[in-house]
Amino acid sequence: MGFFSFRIAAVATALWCCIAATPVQAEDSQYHLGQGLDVGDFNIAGYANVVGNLPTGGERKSLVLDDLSLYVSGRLNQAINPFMETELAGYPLLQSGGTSLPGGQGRVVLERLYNDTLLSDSFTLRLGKMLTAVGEWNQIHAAPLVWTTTRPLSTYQSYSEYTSGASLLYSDPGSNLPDVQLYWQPDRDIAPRPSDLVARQYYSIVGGEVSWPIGLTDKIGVSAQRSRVVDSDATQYLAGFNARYSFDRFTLDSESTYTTISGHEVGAVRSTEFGGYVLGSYALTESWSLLSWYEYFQDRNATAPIQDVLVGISYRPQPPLVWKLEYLKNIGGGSLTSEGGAVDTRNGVYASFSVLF
Amino acid sequence: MRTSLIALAVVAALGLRARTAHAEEVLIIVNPSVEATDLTRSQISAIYLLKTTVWPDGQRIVPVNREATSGTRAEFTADVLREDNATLATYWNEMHFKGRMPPLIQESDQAVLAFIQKVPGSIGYIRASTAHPDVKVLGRVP
Repeated sequence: MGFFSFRIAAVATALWCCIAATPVQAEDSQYHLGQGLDVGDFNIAGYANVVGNLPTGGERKSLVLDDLSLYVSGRLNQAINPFMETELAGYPLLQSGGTSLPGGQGRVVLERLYNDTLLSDSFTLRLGKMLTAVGEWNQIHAAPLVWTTTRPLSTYQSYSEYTSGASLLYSDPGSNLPDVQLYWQPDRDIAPRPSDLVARQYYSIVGGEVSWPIGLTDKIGVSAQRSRVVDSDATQYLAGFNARYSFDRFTLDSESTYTTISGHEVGAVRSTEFGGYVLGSYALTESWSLLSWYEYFQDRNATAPIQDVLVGISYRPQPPLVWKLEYLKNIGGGSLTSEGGAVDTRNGVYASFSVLF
Repeated sequence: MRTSLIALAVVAALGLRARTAHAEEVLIIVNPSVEATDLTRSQISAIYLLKTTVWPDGQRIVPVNREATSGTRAEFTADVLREDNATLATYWNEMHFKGRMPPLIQESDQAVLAFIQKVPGSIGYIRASTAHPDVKVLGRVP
């Protein structure tokens, strides 16, 4: 166990001890599907996502426990409001052929570990490991909350999904001004994801996002970030845009990023990386929705842009439960593996069941 | 024709009466530790939508909601939050994942009352016919 892992385990243990030490009366402990278990000043919740992959082109069919996530949040006072999320990622359940999956037996990953200090009604100081504020998909990436089983490349491929450091969040109680989040990671991630789960690691990250609410869930956001790429002398500058707008039964959702890279990075054949998706959703009923997205993505490691089209249907019998079925078709440029290699592996049918618990 | 008009009038009157009987006032109640003396609809909405998280005296706000099937919650949602249940559920789930805890759920007026009486900084709502000792009333809906 590395030093950082040991420290993280110690902090996590301390958090659990706080929960265990909280005096709880019977009526204080309540569980509600989707909202978790309230134990005194703490809430324990999570989500699970099981994915069936039926790729075309000779890849093996598989059933994977894609995520089993547990998050604990506490609201103790203005200064101490901890949040911790850990997950078991990519645990194989079944695969055609009966041999073990390339992903092994899954991984336990620390997703988030931070504390919020409420500086005022509008300002919050967050310290620790958190999700990076670039677009909306990354910040609500739990399977029951996002549109499709397949995640568009533009929502993760070009930047660090996590920030380990400090962040200042502004939210106007009157909703008249935009929400703002500034963040800074002075060094490397305190608990980096395994290298086979991410395209690259980043350090020395600084950035911000401004988001204008135009409804309860509709919004327009812009973001900017500067970061350095681990094991290279490359520095990259990213600009992002995201928007969601609903009218009657239709919802339009889009995110895009544009990144310039200076310095040398192994494998990169371009000094820019850019892409975006446009998604349309139509609610057939309160539970059933049809949806489709188109994505264009020019990876820094690929000479030709990737174009993917997805069509799908989702069934949400209750807000915390969702079934998804979708077909993804690459229509140009090949697809990417998580390592950034231009290999056509994403074509096919994907189905999932996910639940917030 | 005249018979139809009378029938329509009777149906309309019965419907109005049913609505009037159903729409009992809802009281907005807080723990006595809260120093505020009144709240506007938009202030209450900001609390339940997690935009306002601390009282003016610095005390943390603990909003309490009823379960999704509650008629009292339906009236509160329609009159104060003015959003549909599906959108609210999506919003609260997203906010929860982002680290902001949605309103706690209590499954009866008595449970809400007991919680508000006990927890400093808490706010909730109950039907006006429920006896409500040891709490402060900051508003009435509608």
